[in-house]
Amino acid sequence: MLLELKKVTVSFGGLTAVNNLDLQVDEGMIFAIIGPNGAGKTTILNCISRFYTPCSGQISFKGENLLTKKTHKVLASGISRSFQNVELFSKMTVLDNLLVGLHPSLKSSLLSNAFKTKKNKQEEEAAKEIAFEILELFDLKHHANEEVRNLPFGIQKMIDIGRAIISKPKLLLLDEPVAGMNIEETKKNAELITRLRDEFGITILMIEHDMSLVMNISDRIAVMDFGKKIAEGTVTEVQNNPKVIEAYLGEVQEDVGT
Amino acid sequence: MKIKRLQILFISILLLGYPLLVGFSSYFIYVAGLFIIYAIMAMSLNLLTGFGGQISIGHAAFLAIGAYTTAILTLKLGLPFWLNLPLSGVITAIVGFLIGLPAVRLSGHFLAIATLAFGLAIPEIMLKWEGLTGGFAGLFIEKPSLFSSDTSFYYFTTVIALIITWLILNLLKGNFGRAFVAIRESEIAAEAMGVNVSLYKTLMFSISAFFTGIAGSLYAYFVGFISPHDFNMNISLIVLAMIVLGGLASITGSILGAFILTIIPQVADRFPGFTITITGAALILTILFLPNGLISLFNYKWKRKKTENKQLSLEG
Repeated sequence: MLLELKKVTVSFGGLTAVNNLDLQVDEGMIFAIIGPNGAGKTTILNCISRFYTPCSGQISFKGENLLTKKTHKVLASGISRSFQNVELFSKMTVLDNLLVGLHPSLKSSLLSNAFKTKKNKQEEEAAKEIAFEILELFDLKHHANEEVRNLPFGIQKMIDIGRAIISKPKLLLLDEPVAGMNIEETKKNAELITRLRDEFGITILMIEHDMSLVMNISDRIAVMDFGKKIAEGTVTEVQNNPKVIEAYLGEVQEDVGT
Repeated sequence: MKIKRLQILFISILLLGYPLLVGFSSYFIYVAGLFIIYAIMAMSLNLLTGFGGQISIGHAAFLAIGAYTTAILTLKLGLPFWLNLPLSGVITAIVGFLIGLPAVRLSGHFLAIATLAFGLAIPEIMLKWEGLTGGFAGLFIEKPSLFSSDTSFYYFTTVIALIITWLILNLLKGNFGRAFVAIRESEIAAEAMGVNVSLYKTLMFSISAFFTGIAGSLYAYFVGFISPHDFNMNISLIVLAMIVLGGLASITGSILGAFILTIIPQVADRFPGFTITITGAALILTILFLPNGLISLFNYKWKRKKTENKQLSLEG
């Protein structure tokens, strides 16, 4: 088991955003969390990437306790993430955005940066090579030196994912990877996400509202409503679960026929 | 990138040939030396504010600490000049680190107020700590024997400034510079990408303070006399104006801003109130019409010419 959440509860003041949640993500999976707005999905991602600390419960990654780690140490331990409303460095170039994603693996010191030593140059060159590999994968090479803010939203979303995977994480957290995209772009991204798992061996935990994407590529789905997990299972199991139908469509009225 | 390199090459050739151009006139060399020292300070502040997004409106305090460190080390301990210069940088960097520690927990206006208080407090301390700083009377420092004339010390200052420019440009290009800009753009994303945001902010303060401390040391030697009044709030604000006028997040912009705001008072001070009027008007116009500073004027023209050429070649 790669990631395990045990009895995780998060509350903000009087509001319980996540209530007693258990979640297990196995290696090599595409795991989707779905649920209506305000169900606590993003809160879970923020707990895993350590922006929030749960009030109670445990989160472990590869058997290690994740809650003792500081936010900036999470990436080095193998968990990376993208953001719901792309949190890119908008005045930096595409290439530089990706290179920031390699930050924990660049070891040359302040002095060797300032004096531009040979070691620093080599490290920068190697980092750029890796960045160009990612750009190639995303077919974004021609945008490498453009500022991110000048690019359309769909491409920004891709760069956000690119920045997250450049460090070759074990687990990738995607917060609504296709929100605001058209059908074409959604299809392209679905392909990309499956490729990330198949070719790079990245386990994926994603939040998504687009049901066509979720139902197409997920191995396992958890459904949340009001901070609680109301169902979990494979695509067909979840689709036929009456609780899920209720959460999404409202209560089933049995006396409709009479 | 090439434009920047050309601009810096142009500036350095101009600076090195300058004493010949003005016939070694000590007044003109004095003004140019001041410009170079302010340019170092503006670059350091731009590293912190323009690139790193952390405002500091008390930067003259770092200049003061550098200058006083040099003066005190020379006068009280008799340390040689080649030791004073780096030591002033290091001691100012340590102060910058200590200021950075609480400052990183503040942002925006709160950080501005905190650095403002720092900028007000340091000259006041220098004024009151008479035993060490000479208080209101200030301290006199002689130029080092190796560079005892104005011209030779001017050349020395120029070389140091060029080295600092090179170091800062290198820093900005590498891993640290990217992390600094990333913090300015989105602290959340920077943290998620493994940047230790509070450590790097403190680091930014230290680096900026280090170079400003060196500038302070050069100032003490170059001017030969320092008093708390030389490092008051005015200087902090003028240096901040330099980077806004020249261009935030631009090294060549910092140099341009330092140049303009060092020259204006020299020309306009004979008419009372003129300097402040021109500076204010220039600032407002820049903020309104050239948010990336006057340097964008140069860069923009170059870029447009390039695209025009492309279009021409496409049509032809």
